[in-house]
Amino acid sequence: MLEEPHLALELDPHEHGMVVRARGAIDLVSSPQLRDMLLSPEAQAAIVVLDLTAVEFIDSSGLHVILERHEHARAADVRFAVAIRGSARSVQRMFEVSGVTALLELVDTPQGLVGDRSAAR
Amino acid sequence: MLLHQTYPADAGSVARIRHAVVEAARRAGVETSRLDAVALAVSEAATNAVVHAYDHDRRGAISVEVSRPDGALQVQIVDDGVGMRPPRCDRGGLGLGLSLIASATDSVDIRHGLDGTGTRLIMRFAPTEREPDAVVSA
Repeated sequence: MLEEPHLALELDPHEHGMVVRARGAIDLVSSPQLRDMLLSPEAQAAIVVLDLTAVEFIDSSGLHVILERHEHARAADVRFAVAIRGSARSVQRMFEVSGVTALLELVDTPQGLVGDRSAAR
Repeated sequence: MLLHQTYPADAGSVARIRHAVVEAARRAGVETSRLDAVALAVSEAATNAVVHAYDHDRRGAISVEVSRPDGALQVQIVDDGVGMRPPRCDRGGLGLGLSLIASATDSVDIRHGLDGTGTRLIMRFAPTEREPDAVVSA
């Protein structure tokens, strides 16, 4: 927790959709970076999964960005899910206590939605 | 007093404050199982101070005080800004942050300066693991 890295984000196109993989901490200073990535043209697909399984910390700044992306997906009639299995206990607890589990589609891993294989880039 | 430091009220300070308080709590023997809750509450409190406490054209400071009265961990986040305001949709609401602080702490008290400026957020974490019994008072 003390050597918490900044946020690292990467796109991983799969057979049926896009995985946005996050690693590190999502807070006031890094949440704009997540927002830019989630709303970038390159990250758009019929199914988008934000993979938080390697995220060590998230606070309400990050949740606001995720909820904003969720609203965009609803408006555009595309599917947006968040994968949190294996993420830090604090990340999973954050989703529970904030009540967003009722709003968002949460999955264990991205593979179930977007397929096992990464698409050719 | 375990820690008393002042930081510039900018976004980059949130992680520095979070790390400093968690490290102070760890050194003071706070249970590892509680450090996640400390990190979340402190991050939310520091974020509130940065986002809500200062006008756009005025950069202030955030003071952080950590102590251990009666075996509890007490963290105070102090700013001398314009005071907490109702949620602003463009910067993230105050409501979610405060409710997360309430869920992560055993008690939280918010005090404002007599002239309406400045906010002191006092968060306490009980010494033993138990269900949070959060009280929010303004």
